[in-house]
Amino acid sequence: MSGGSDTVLAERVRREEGILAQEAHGQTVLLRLEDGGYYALDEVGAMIWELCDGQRAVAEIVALLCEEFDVPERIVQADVLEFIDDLRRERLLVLAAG
Amino acid sequence: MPLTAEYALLLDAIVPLAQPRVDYQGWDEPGWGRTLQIADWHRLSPVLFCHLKPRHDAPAAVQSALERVYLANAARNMFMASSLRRVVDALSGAGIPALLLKGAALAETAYPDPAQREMLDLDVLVPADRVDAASATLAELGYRAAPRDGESPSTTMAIHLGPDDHHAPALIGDERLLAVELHRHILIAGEGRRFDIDEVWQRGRPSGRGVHLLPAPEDLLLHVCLHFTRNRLGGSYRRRHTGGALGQICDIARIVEHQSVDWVGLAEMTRRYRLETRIFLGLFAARELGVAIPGSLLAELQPPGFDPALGRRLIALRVLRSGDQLPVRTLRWMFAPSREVLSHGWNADPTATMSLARAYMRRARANVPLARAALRRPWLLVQDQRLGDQIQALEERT
Repeated sequence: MSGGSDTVLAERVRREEGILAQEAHGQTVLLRLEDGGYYALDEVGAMIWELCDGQRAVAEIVALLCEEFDVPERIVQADVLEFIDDLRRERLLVLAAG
Repeated sequence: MPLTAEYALLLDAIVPLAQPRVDYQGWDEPGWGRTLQIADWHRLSPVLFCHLKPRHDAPAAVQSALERVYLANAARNMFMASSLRRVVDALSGAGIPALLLKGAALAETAYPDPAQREMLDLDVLVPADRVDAASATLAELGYRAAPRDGESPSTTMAIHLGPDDHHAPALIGDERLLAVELHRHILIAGEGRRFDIDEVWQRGRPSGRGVHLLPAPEDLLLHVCLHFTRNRLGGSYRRRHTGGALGQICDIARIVEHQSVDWVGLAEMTRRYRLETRIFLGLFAARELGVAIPGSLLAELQPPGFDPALGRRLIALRVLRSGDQLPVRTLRWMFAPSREVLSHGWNADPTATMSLARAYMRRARANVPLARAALRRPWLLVQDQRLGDQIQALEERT
């Protein structure tokens, strides 16, 4: 665990099956086909969503975002972990096997 | 064309001008409320959202209300696109050609952002002799026709398609969220007897995935104009899903903006199909409201004896209207619906008198608000009726 988060930095997460994503006027809309639940991500959220490909560890995603945005690592890390936790709770992301 | 402030803003969203038609700064809450209601009626809330968002000057509550509709529509259209893929893949697997119509075709061709086009169901054209096979194929995906009045749920997939029906009853998906309408034609009985549906197939173009076909730009326009002058002009009081005719103007604007239309070809086929009046009226209304329709095309299609004042009255009475200001189509439509209307719209068995009578009563009860609204404005009712007669007279001349 890291800072009270359910997600660990060394873990890899991937997008859940049955989730559709589409860009819509500057936002990314996610649709969970199972029950029709939908969510809108802003630009940064959409970037994290794209990076959650099951290949990268969460720590790598944090590092990539630190490169992209000039923000202290501890802040990026806390935000990414919280975001991933939220999306896991909403059954949009899952831990990648292996 | 005189416009209210609310319609001027909607037209700015559909066909912007260098100088906006209206300045909405300083609008009060009721003004925005009316605008949202009208946009909703004409199914233009997503279009209005995309127009206002980059300007950052609409009230936050308005922006937020429109954003909710836009995002919900984006999600619904994603669901529909995913369902459509399953439908056309299944039809293709069964060797049945499929050509998209109406909203699904427009979202795929004319709207760069498909989330801006509201859609209710999926309309798919299949060859007339393959409708039963297509229905059986879709049944395997869970799409079935609702049983008719007095009928038990059917296990057979042969569908009731009368000689005058241009599409089969809607097939509803297992999840009860989506209906698919299988069309064998795009015209209804009595419209354009010279129209050759085979030509629509020949002009069709492959979709990006190559699994289904999409109508040629000229057929997209033709179909929108036919609907514009058919059921959209009258609408139905408090049946929001019928939408308003300004939505059709938006479709025409997007086709013209994003598709390469062969105007000469459109004029030629319109004349050959003897559909000049129907197509002319749709395109005339679009041009009057700012869409770049070539004047030469309109001059070519203009029916003999057409008075532009009649066209403008049509726009004022039947396009720039919503809610209980909507016209009724005709008194006959109100009080003497056809068997087809009762059968398709009200689930009657067209061969059973009692079933038709029950459907008539259901429809009459549902139309009480329409009748009340009509009786509150007898002068408008007269105007609507006169306009309908004048349009019919124009059609009869061509």
